[in-house]
Amino acid sequence: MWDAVIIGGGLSGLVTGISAAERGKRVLIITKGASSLNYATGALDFGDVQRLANTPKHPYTLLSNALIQKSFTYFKRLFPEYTGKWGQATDVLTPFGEFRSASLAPRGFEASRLKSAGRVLVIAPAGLKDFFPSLIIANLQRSLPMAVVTGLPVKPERFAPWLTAGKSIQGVDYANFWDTAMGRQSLGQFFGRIEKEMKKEALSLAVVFPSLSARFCDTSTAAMQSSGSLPDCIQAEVSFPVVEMTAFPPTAAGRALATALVHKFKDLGGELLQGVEVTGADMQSGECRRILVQSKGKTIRISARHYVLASGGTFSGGIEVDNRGAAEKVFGLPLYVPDDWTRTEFLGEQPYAKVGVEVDKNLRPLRPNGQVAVNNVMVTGRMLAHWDPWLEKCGGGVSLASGYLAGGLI
Amino acid sequence: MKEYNAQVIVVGGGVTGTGILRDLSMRGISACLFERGDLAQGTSSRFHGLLHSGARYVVNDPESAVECSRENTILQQIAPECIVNTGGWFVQKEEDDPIFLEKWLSGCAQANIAVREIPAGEAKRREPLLSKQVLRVFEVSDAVVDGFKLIWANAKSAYQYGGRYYTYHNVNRLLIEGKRVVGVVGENVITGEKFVAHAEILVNATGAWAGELLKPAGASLQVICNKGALLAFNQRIFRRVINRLRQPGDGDIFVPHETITILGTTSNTVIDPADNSPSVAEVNRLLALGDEVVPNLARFRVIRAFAGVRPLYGGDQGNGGPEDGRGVSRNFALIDHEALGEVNGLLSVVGGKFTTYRLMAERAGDWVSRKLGNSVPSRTAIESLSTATVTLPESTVKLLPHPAAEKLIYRQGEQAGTILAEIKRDPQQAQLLCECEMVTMAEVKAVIADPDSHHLADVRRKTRLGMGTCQGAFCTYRAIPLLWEKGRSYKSLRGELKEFLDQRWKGIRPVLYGSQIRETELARAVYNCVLNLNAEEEE
Repeated sequence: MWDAVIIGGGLSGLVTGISAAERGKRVLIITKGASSLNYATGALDFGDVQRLANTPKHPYTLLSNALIQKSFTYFKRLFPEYTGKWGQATDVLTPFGEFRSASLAPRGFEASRLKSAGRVLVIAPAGLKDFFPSLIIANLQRSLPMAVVTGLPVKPERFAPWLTAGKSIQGVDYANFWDTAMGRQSLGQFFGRIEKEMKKEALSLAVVFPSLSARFCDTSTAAMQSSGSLPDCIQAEVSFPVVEMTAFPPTAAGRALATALVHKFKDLGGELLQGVEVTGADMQSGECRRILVQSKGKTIRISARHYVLASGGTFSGGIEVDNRGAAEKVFGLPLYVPDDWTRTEFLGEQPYAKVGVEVDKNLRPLRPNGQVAVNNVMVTGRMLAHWDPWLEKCGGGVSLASGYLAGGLI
Repeated sequence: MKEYNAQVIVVGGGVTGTGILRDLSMRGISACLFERGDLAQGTSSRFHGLLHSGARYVVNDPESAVECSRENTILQQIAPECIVNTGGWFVQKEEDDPIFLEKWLSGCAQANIAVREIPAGEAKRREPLLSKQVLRVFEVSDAVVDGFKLIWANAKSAYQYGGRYYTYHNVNRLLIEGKRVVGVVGENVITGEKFVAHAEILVNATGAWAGELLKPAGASLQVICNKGALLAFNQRIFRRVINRLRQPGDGDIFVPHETITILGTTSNTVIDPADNSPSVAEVNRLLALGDEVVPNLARFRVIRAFAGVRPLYGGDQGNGGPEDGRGVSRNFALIDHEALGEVNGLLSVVGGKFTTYRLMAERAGDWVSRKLGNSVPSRTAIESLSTATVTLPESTVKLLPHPAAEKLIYRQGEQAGTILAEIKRDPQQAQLLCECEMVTMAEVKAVIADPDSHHLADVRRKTRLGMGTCQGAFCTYRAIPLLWEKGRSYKSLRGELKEFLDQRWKGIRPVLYGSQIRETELARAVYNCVLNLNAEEEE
């Protein structure tokens, strides 16, 4: 019997799994598809914790500030490649070359390093999709009036056939390439040339690079452990800062974080069942006895002491909405469904975003009358009710903190 | 202040206005058209895109039926590039009144509309998603029309004949001397520059907005604003147009367009012609009614709901007939304000249907010609709207996947050649900026370069960018840098991006379930978090 079965292999599910496995628990994660992290930038936002912790019903009101901060520190301990100070913003670049703040970001993203540069070079990899060098240069120039911002194309041989064929080159394609032996070599040479060229100038140089991080924090392989992560390894070889931009989905940095979390979990002895779907659960007197898993045409029944529902919200499919209503797919848990579903301003407040499961301080699902619906189920991440990650910019924070809390309760 | 002079001013850049501009220009009458937004921005782009065979109207409105039937034939001849000849079926179900069927058949015979019965078994084979409870099926010559394309084709053809159209030119008021209209004053809403235009005659083709323009000038017009909501499904449910064979009502027409299907419509009287927000109630009503034709219709993904406001002409019927507007004739009316003793030289064209726009334009042209003493007859029924059929060398077309090339040629006509040449020069320009509608980078660049393209929404209407499954989640941010390169300020583009997303959102809100909710989560993540677009609100 498992100590815990976690349904969902995204950020909150994996953090739950890692923190439980670290404490010697036997944990199984079941995940249907790719983590939503693949669509995320790789930088994590906690939002305005003070304000949100005082917003009625927000998940932060259930998690103490101390716990939220602990989850922040915990993540940094897991991934030293990430930078960020509690309560302080870290600057990163948007894909349009504007500065924005994040709470935790891969070191390579840290954009404040550009602020002291006299010369900023924006590297423009040939044919890179969703990359707009002239707009980026203009936006950077506006933010950095003291610097001279220019572009520098790079055109690796590897992609010559793609360019001729008119095939689009995604950021992940470039990131994959830079991480090969050939890619690292050509990157080394490229940076060497820049270094040499720029020595002639008196200005202090900084480089902006899109889609660079392939496996920046993959610590599972010995090779990576010895060489360090990719941006660190570049950084070690060159004397100027190399700042990676965040990107539109799908992103190399988001994928790298998803992969790194999985490796971390497995290294700690966690088991991962991928590509299968949890279709239901056997319930008895307010407890879950087992869950039903559809695997290659047959139904498996799995039992555990704890079940963690980290299946995501409407985006990941944990909550299904049709034109009659909304439903939680595994346990059929009661959902908070706002009456007024939408508002006029798309990017403003949207009630629909707050659909989810209401929980108590131990993350146990509640009925509308406030009673615990199932004793041995915990709910984490986007499945929780009463928050909007896109407006409140606390997606990383709620997922990390709730996952960390659930892991501790297993 | 900018000054324009012409014999005739046309106000309104929908299908009626551009049709009139073309009709007049072809008669050698100098005319200029002012539209406060982009062409095809109002009701003309907010309908099901059905080119009526006339069969829908044979029982209740035989005059309209005959007009539709004639115009359908004419338009198929003069504008084949804008029309897909899908054909249409009228399907009768068990619960549909058999007496109506008899009336309908004799009505079609009287209106000379060809009808062919399809055996029910065969019909179910050819349209497998059609309800199994269909008893009888009749084929008519319904077709599908691309409103955007037809309107632009009219405007461009008019231009060839000397007609001029000015988009984003808002007419503020009419200039009246004595009892005669002598021109208009207005403003270029993009530059803010004021303009004055002088003419002998003014044609009011503002549709649902007709009353607004006239009131200050002391002319009156009874237009009933009738809102019709529609649903756009993510797939082609039927090969052809499907009509319900019963008393025309709500939710009884399915119209296939390329890879989507439109289900329409509802009919509700509204006060404000700008009231084109579809409601959840209208969506649910359409789904329930559509379900009778396609069982379990809710399983199909709805990408958006939209609504248009029909300008029904109330005329002498007092307060405008029944509440729902279905009883008011869909026929058109020319209102001669001179004959009404109000304002001389002023004509309003209201009512009517998209299918009969050309006939309306011809009649308006006749009226104007009489006033001006011009004796040249209308030639819009015989002279093709289209330029020569575009045939491009196989090798050029092969630069794109087949469907993408076909769509490009369909959308851009002659200009497709230039766009393909650019792709040949730089194959990377073949990258799809909009994956849903298969719009390449090169095509968007070409459309942005067009002097008539000012806003993201203008690019959307000319390329279908943002009109597919993702409703702009990805293509919109890709178009922004291209508009910026044309010289637009980044700050104004950020504002416009929000406006554009709000516009798309208007149609998604009432259908926010299923996959559209996932799409919405992703889009809000991209624009709020990745691009930090709502940063200002934060402070």
